[in-house]
Amino acid sequence: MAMNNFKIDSEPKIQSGFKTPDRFFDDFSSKIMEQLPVNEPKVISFYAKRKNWILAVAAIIVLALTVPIINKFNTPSAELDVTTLENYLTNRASISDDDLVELLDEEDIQKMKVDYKIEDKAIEDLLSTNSNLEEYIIY
Amino acid sequence: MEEKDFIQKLLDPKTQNEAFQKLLFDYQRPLYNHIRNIVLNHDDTDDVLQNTFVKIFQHLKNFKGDSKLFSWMYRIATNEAITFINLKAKRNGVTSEALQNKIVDNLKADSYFDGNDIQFKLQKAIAHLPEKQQLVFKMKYFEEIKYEDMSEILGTSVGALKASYHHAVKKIENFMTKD
Repeated sequence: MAMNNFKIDSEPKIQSGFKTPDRFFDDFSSKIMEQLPVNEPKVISFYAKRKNWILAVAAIIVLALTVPIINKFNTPSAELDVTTLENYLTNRASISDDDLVELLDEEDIQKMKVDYKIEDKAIEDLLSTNSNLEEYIIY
Repeated sequence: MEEKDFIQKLLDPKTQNEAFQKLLFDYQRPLYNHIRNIVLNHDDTDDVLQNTFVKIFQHLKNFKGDSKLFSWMYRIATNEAITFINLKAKRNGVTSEALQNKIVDNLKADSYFDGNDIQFKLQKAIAHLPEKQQLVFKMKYFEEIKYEDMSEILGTSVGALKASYHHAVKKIENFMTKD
């Protein structure tokens, strides 16, 4: 459809021609209000609500796991001190010398060896100067 | 009511709902028309308008008051509508100009368009314009927005807007006369 010398300002105003469905605006604002985000302070997430509980439970678990470790380091040593051991051995009649010997190994025996460091000459002198020596020999 | 007071009511949680309802009541129709002129189809306009109001609500706290509330809202609506058209064109694998032309060609089948031949032809003429000229022409001719307000909405000088409108009118008059 051609028009001769169409001048937009000399024509009656042309409307866009768009229509809106009847009653579209009746519920539009309520539709929007439903979509609006709730004020932030009111939003408490499930996680935030339970956060303190989760922290408390976590702390208990950590403590529970730590107690045995601390215990292990603080337990007094099982080794007995020497005096206690000596007292025990002295006062227990049921342990015989043989029982004790049984418990000794070669190293222990070496340690117990006493070196008197007496020279032969000293023995000779002692024997020659001791007048009673003969009596010992006789008996 | 002073605009400043109204903005305060929009920001105060106690009065916010009531104030926003008033804002909706006052602006739902003009913003609908503005968006409809850009995206052309009613259902798309409905979606874009809803997004626009939700965005307006979400960004109210950032509204600096440098411009009028009215032009700030129109700016959001314009951006939403143009973004929507561009995304739709991308989804369809065509340019936004091609999409506009296609929608206009199908307007006669649109149950929410009841324009006569002249109205239909005017829509076709507009669809042939560059994007900025389309926008300026629609805002000036259909929505009768003042150049000063349009300048705030589009961030373009009044002189440039007048030039755009002038070019748009010339092209439209040629289109309407020629075919």
